Parts: sequence; C-alpha cells; structure tokens
Amino acid sequence: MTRLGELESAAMQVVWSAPGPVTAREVADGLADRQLAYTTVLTVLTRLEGKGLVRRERAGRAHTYAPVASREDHIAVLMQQALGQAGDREAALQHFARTVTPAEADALRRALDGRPIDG
Amino acid sequence: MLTAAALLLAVVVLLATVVPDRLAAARWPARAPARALLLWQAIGLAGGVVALEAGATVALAPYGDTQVSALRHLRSNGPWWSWAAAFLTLAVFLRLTTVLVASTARTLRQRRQHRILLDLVAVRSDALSGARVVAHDVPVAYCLPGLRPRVVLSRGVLDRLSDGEVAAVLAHERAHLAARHDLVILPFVALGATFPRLPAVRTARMQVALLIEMLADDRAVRRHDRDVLARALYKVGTGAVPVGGLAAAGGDVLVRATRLLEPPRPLSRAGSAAVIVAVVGVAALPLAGLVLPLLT
Repeated sequence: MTRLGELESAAMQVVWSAPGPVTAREVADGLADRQLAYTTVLTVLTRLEGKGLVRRERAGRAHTYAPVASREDHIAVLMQQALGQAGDREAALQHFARTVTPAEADALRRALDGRPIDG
Repeated sequence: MLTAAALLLAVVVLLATVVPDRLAAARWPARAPARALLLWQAIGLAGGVVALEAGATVALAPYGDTQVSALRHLRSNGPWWSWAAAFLTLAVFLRLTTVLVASTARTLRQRRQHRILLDLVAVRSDALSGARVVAHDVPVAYCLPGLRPRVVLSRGVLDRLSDGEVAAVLAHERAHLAARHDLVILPFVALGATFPRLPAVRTARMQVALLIEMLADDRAVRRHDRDVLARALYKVGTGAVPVGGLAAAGGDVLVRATRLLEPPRPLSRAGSAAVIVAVVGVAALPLAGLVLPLLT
C-alpha cells in the first residue's frame, strides 16, 4: 500500500469510529500519533471525498466529514464482489474453493470419512 | 490454394471440436496438469492462428499458387468470395485483439477497485504472513493477483478451519500468485468473450481453470498434508449456501478433493514425452498454413 493509501485507510477508520460527522481537526487528533500536518489531513479527506467514501458538509465555519457507507456495508460489497457470480470475475480473483452443491457436499463428506481429523 | 484452404479449415474444425472434447474427457491431465496446460495453450494458439490463415488463404487464392506469389499479383477486381474471405478474416482478427485488450483492461480495473475496497476494510495479519482478514462469517479464501497482490481470508475461514488447514489454504493461494496463474487464464477468458457461443472455448476455459487449481494444490501439498488440504476444500466449499450459478464452478472442488485423497500416479516418462511431442506438433500447425499451398 502506498503511504497515501495507508493514510486514507487510517483516516477512514477514524471517520467510521466517530459517533457522528467529524471535522478535519478531529481526524488529525485521531491520527495524532502520526504527527501529520493539518493540510495533509485535509488532502487525505479530499481524496476520500473524491473516491465517494466520505461526504463533506458545512457546519458553521468549518466542514465536517461523514462516511457515505458504514464499514459493514463496504465489507458486504467486497464479499459480493468476491463471491460474484459474474463469469468475468474469474480472471480478477482466484478462489480457493467455490461453493459446492448438496450432492457434492455428501460425496466430499464420504470421501473424507474415516480420515484422521487433525492438522 | 483452395485445397490448402480447405485442409486448414478442417484443422480449425478439429481444433474447435474433437480435440478439446477428447482432451477434456481424458484422464491423464490430472496426472500431469502442467503438461496438459501447455497442450491447451498450444490448441488455443494454433486454433486462432490457423483460422486466420485459412481465411487469408481463401482470400488470396484467385491471385496465385502460394501466399507469396498471390500477394505479388494482387488485383482489385478479384471475385466476391475473395473479398468476403478477406473481410471476414480481418473482422475476426480485429475482434480477437480488441476483445483481448478490453477484457484485460476490465480485469485490471476490477482488481484495482477491489484492492482499494479491500485495503480499506481488511486487517493485515502478521500471524498469517501478511494475508488480509475480512470480518465476514461466510468462509471465503481467494487471492487478488497483480503487482501488489493480496491473499484474502474471511473471518469465517479462520473460525472454521484448523491452523494447519489455514496454512494449506495460504500455500495454495501463494502458489497462484507466485506462478502468475492469472496470466495463464487471461487469454482464455478473452477467447471466451470473443466467441461466447463456441462450446470448445467454454470447455477450454473450464479445463484451464481446473488445471491451474490442481497445480496450486500440488504446490501446497509439498509442505502440507493432502488430507488437510482436502478437508479445507470441504470446509470452504460447504461454508455458504449454494446459489444458482455458483454450483457449476463448485464441481471442481469434488474433483480436486478426490485427487488429493487418492492421488493418481504421475504420468510415465514416455507418456510425458508423448504430450510434449503433441504440444510441439499442435504449436507447429500454423506453419502448415504456409507449407500446404506449396504441396497442393
């Protein structure tokens, strides 16, 4: 992951874990251990907005940032992509094992029967 | 020239029907998946090139006895069928190349989008030597190939599989990444996108996908127990409720597990040599397109 990509991910975790919309200052505080310049945090938030991950809103004199979707929603989309039935995804991801039919599951169970269960 | 063209077309028909059917039905590929993969690549390449040659030979037939002499004596007032063959050949060639480029671009775009999302929500695990863990109950294990590859496991995999089974799964996925199996499947996916209705293309794509899995399995069982990997296949394969189209791809899991539990003898030295001869022979078929007009 690039440094910026990694910062985006870290900033996103702060936005997600906040109870409501956060200001850039609050995100910078959340990432205090990284000692980032305030402008860097603004850049990261702008990039996140550009990627459609956060929404910027005006709150008095400052701007606040809120996640467009929850972390769970993103995981759902990710898993949808990973489990995607679309054939052209075959080249994009390589699965360890696709889901089998009940009949195949029975055959597998029989084949494995009586083998030592450890590992 | 027309006799040569007819022979070339016959070769194309064989490469697009009988040959892939026989190879798909054969038992030996499970005993030598790497060799079988080479043969599929040779068939795909030869089929495409010879088809283009056949078209070009028909198009050039009115102008000379060989392609070279015909090219020298090209005239614009050739018969309609020569023009039709030239047009068709060019159209197939353009479609093949554009689809290959487009399907590669689409794959790369899908991977990049997936990686961005993945890096946002997955946790890198040092205990799993850098694999990404996604908080999801359904057991899913896969790798995202490319220049910045990722091995991905869902929480469901870690909950259900023993440490040994997880290690075997990781070894399988790393084998895919190390051998760049994604590049092997890519042209077959493109071929499938170009000729979606040709059964042989579908067969080739499914067989190549299965052989790649066998290769990764073989690599994984060098350091892990066969039974352990087979059990991991069972646990991941039965972890989700089967939905429509997914089941078709699941068929491979049973074949692979059976192969792991009752490994077939590796192909004999003679058998292996025979396959290599076949690979060279098939790969040399495009040369026949140039030689045949001289002989007929």
